[in-house]
Amino acid sequence: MSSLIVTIAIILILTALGYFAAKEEYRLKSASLVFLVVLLLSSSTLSTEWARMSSELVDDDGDSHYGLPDLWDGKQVVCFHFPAEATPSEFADGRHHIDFDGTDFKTDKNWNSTGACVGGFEGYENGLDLLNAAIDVRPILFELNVTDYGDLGLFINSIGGIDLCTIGPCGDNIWTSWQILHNGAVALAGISSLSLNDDSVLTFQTTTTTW
Amino acid sequence: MLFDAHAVTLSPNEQFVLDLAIVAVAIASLIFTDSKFKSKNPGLIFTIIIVLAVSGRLLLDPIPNVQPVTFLAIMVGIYFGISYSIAFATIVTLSSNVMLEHGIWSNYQIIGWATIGILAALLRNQFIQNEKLNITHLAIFAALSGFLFDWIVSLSILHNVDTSFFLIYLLNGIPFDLLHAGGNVVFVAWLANPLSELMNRHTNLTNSEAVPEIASN
Repeated sequence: MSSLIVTIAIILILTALGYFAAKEEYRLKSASLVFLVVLLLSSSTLSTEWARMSSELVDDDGDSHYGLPDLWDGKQVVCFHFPAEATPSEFADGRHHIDFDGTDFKTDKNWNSTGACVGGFEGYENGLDLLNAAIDVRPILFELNVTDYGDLGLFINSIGGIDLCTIGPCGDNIWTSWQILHNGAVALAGISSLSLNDDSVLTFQTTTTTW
Repeated sequence: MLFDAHAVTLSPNEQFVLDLAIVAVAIASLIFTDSKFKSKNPGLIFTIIIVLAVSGRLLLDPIPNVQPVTFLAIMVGIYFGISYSIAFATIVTLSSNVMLEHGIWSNYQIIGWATIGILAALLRNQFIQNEKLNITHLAIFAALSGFLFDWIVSLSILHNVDTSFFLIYLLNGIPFDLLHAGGNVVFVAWLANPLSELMNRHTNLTNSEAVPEIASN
């Protein structure tokens, strides 16, 4: 939003300069040309920021992108749903939506969990690659700690430095850990061997397992 | 020795600058050499304007939503009237879409440019005052026409999506509408007066052809 305001302000200021710097009979020519050139140069930024501002949340609960901004339709998304008592303060007021370039552009305060979704990614075929791309957007808040068990795959110890055993139960026959949902369903493969679609939504949330 | 000119490749930016130069030379040639011709046949200048609109639309295609057709539709509406506006919109759209892409949207483009031409014809007295072009009124109308045309053409998406999506679609398109509006104002600022002189030479504003056909006594 602030980028949009800055862009519009720059366009208006330069247009005004173009208007007042010219002789009276050339003012419209000068101002209109400056306006058009600056608008063309900033059109990419302006379109992106405008699309972010005007995006709506998908309200079809049968859609894998349910609750996500329609700006990300057809694109890949990673959501981190933190436990309420351990959510980073930056995400404590709801579910934040952060674009692939790091812009936090929309917050859903009515979502039933707190955290953040990072989206707008394209072309990732493997779950771990997409997860790493999402973490790179906020490397400290989403800091990943994993243990590699070789052929068995990766085990996620922590995301964002949160030790789940300090929040949920961990014992001989019970454990609190991160669970991966792929398009709303529990993923059947580990993150390192998970195959993605063009519009995959990966959700990381905590779960308690007993055995 | 024969050189293969087709082997020369230009970058998109080089091609764009070259295209822009071609359009500028075409317009300048038209404006500066036209004084030699004294024909009062409106068909001649109407044909030249159609060629200018088609070539301008094709050559400026790399710039998103900036092309001279809307501006020229307004000028045709003012100087030639309603029926010429409809003919202009139809010929320019079909001719340029042969190169750009033809589809259901072509009909909406024809309706859009014809509507703008008709409105310009009906509002002609707002644009020509004391036999002079009122550039401020024209610039405001040209800017609004950019939005009007884009919204009319946007109606074509209703063939594919629900009406509830339409408003969001229009909202998302506002930056592109602004480009169209800005481009129109630039064309008005730089070309309206010379083109007005040129059209005046080939049309008689006092005759019945130059006023909107549906205007009353």
